[in-house]
Amino acid sequence: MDIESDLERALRRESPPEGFSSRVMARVAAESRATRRAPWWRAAAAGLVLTAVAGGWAAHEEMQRREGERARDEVLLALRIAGSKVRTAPKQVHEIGTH
Amino acid sequence: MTAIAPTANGLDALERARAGDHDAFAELVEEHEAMVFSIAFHFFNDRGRAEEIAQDVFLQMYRSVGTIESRSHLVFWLRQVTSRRCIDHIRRTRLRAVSIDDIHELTGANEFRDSLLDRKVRHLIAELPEHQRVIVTLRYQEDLDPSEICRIVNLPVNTVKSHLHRALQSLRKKLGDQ
Repeated sequence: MDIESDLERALRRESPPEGFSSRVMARVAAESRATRRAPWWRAAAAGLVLTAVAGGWAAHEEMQRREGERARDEVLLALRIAGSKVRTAPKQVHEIGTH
Repeated sequence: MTAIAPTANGLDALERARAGDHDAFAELVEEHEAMVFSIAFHFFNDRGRAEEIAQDVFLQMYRSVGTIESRSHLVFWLRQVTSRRCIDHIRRTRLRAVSIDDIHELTGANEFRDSLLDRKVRHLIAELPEHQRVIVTLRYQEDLDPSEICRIVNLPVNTVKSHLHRALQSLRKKLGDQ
């Protein structure tokens, strides 16, 4: 028995089942679509994150600006009150002196 | 070995596939499908499992086509990846050599095409240890010598020769007994 020729005959190349390459290409196309979609989704996700961060930063800035304005208004009010007190003080001293 | 087949625009299918051309990739699949499918089929003796492995190999090729340098590198790469996937698959699942599908297949259309001896030989190969199976397949299906096989299976050439020798001894004994 010549085992080597038996092996060569038994192990000859065979064609895969009908439609094999179409099935492979369908999987390739699905993978290709998924790969092409990925950058779009990544860009959209990155955009959302950036918008959220920028929005948060802008809101924080606006809050700080309003706090600053309120503090400034309070200081001005305090100065005005103090100023009016200073203006009326000599008059009151004078009145006390005349009594 | 497959010859380079340039097209009208001067680029061969591999170059075009590397550039993202799906038609060129399909040409490569059709050119090499019999080799890849047959390595897996002779390893498992199961057409369904062989198709599953062969599809996975070509999908991996699609992902790695940019790293493949030439037509000869592609053939080497396909043989190597198919052999590795077959061995990994059998180690993961520890399948029986012959599945229910094969029993159906033996009594199906292929019965008339294959001689009884061919089927017996393939059945006995599928019972060999995994490295022996791959080495026998690469030796007799792909007509490679041990120095080429050792690069594909990443084993020393003397180990390949020894696996081949033991596989032939085992097959001779089993075929003689039957």
